[in-house]
Amino acid sequence: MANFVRRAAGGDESAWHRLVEDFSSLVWSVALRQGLGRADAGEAVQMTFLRLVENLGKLREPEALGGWLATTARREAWRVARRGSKELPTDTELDAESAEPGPEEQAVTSERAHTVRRAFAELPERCARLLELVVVLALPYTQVASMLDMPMGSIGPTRARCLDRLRALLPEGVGSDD
Amino acid sequence: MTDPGTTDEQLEAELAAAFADLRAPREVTDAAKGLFAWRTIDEDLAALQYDSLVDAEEGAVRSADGPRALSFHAGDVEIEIEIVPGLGGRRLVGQVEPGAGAAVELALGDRAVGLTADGLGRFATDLPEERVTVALSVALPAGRVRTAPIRV
Repeated sequence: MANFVRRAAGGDESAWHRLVEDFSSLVWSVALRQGLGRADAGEAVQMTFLRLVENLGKLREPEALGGWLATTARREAWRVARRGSKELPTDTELDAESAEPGPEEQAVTSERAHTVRRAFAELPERCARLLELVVVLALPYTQVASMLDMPMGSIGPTRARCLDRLRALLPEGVGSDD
Repeated sequence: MTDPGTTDEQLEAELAAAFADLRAPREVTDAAKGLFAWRTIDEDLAALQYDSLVDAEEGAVRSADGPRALSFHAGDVEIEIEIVPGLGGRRLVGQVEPGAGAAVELALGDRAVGLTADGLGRFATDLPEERVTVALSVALPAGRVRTAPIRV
């Protein structure tokens, strides 16, 4: 990942695309967690990656990019929330998107998803965080290791253990066709 | 007893589906890819020094309702801009100091707008209603000063 940062800083656009692909969901999820709606979260993502494009050559620890982006996303989400109503009458940008159902309605599309979310909420904090970063947001192991401050070698085993815990929290039949 | 038929892969697929809303929509990711065009190799970008949205807190009373004000600094040069309501929408008004008569180039989304500062270094232009990325570049006798890109 440090390599992609260096290449993007040097002008390699495909490396930039890779960084955005790998990290846009992390930034988006942080913005949602700050309480933003989908249109505002989209704006916070743009602002966060604009900060990244401006700082590509200055990142002191490119291997800790995930942590840097999460921190920046929280700050930019806050900025968007403050700007909110006072500057623009409506969110004209990404309008089609804001017409979609919000995260809550949309996520619980099925009984099964609801069940999985309930079981997930019962997990210990550390398991929930790891599974979210690795499975839901599909971040590279190197980034997860630095964000959770754990050795990379223990991510795989922890992931398996946390999945076992989740499985134990689920009623029978989830995961099979029902 | 838990279902022995649920493999790790199946369970992970269930988990990913249940939290699909946490993954960035395609159009958001694609828009962020386009921001690479705003990369600059300038070492001395005028950095954002003040943004009323973030920094007005200390001044407490005035904060929330005024126009958004930002200022940038590079060496002895200061650039201030405000986003104010205009007749048909929003306007950007600014001042570069020192900058009497300077040529100001405004990158506005994917457009470029050329402006000339007046005798006091002031300039103004209309902004689109939708949020847009903006950066300024001012030609001064000592060289060109560019601001970091911002979203307004």
